[in-house]
Amino acid sequence: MTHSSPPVRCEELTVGYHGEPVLEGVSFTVETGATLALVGRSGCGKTTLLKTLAGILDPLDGEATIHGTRVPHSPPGGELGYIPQSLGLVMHETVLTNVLHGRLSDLGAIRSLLGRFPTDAKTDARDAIERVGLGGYEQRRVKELSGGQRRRVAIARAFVQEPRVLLADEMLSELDSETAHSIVDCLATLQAETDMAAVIVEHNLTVANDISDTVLRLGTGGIEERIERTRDPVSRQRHE
Amino acid sequence: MSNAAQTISVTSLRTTLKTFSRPILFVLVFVLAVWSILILELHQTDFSGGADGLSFLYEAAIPPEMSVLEVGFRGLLETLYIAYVGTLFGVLLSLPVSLVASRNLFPWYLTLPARWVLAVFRVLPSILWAVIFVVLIGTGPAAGVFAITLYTVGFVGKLEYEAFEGLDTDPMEAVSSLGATRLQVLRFVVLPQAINALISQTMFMFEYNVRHAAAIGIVGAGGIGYYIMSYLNFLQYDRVIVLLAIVFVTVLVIDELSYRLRSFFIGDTSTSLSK
Repeated sequence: MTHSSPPVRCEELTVGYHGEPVLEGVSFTVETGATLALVGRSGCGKTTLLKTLAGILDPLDGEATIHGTRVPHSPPGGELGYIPQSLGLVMHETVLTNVLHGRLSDLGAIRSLLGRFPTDAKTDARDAIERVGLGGYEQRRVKELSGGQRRRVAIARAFVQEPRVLLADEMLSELDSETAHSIVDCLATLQAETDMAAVIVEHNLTVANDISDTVLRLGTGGIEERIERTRDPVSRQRHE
Repeated sequence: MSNAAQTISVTSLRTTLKTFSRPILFVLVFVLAVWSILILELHQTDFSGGADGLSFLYEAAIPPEMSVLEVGFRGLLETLYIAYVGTLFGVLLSLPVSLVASRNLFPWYLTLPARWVLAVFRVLPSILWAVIFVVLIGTGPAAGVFAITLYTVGFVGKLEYEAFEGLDTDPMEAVSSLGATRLQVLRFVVLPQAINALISQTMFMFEYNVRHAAAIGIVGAGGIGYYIMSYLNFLQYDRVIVLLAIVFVTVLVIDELSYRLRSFFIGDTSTSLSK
């Protein structure tokens, strides 16, 4: 682990499935506290790139690192947060349990087997649930919540985990504008507090422009356009 | 032939196979069924004596001899103990093996031997395991418990790894990327996601084992089956029917219990269709 390395760095990265490239020669870096948005039409490889950065898919060529750890190896526990498009929540479990999953890297083998989280982790989880506006929902099963509420649970999990890098896939899809704004606010607060770097997949270019410092428009086989935002990330995180 | 032409021909072959695979499969299932019926000579079965047999059974069994209720409940209790302990041990032993046998959780060099272990226990039905254990450790409920345990490991283990392989992988990948170990992913994601299937399978297995624990009594492995066999030997069908009714009601109660237990763990499962 070398924390002098940028949080996310891709160098001539080729990603794809079963040896078939979807994106080739992708290069970018994401600095501490910054957000990079990946946009492009469906099937252009946004999710494939994100899954590769998350260590789920092996890169076909080139190199990607998360805080100096070469993908697909995982950085030390809890440094990387990944929210897939489906949010990756355990639907039968309660909101509290799902949020506590953000603290699994602190849990030893015995406590893991017994399913016992320390009191301070539970307190932090309750605080996080309160902060994303889900106070009182701790014991509700996730499957009983709306789409927007589930996204808040995923963000609360990230709050508790405090990752140094967050990878999020279409967090705002299928949400009304009010809920989408509140989700963006939650993410911005998290980023402002933790100086977390984020790579976010977003199909809406306007939204991507609003929430990021760099926008990469992906097209057939690679990067079509790179839009650098001049805004200071910190000022953006203070809820423009 | 050029590479491009080869690729096109392979693609068109795949498309053709996909188009015709369902009708071919349907025809194959039908042909195999007809073939099996012919081989077994099911079409030549003689049903002419069936009516007389039914009439004999009815006269021999009705009215039922209710004085065997006490014996029946004593036997049932022993059968339930055998089925309960056998199912519990079987499910507990099968869980780690079936997790390792799941292809989406472990590499092939671990899944393959785990599947072989489960297959070995599944080769013999519980009644034959019971015969083996009666030979090894003598007659009595212990032989029944061991027989039920081994068969449960093989049977429920297969159902379990198929349930694990059918799970949504997104939560596993998301929680794994949060820094969770494999053990934590199994404990906090895989098992909770599969809990519905696991409870269902366990209760199904318990119900199955109650019926089989009743049957293995026939070979001397204890339980209500011992009494059923004794009365059958003396053609006392009016007593046999009472004992069979006890087993039938028990199976219905277990079925209802299964539904309530699942609802307790995963919440209400009713839909607008079920109202």
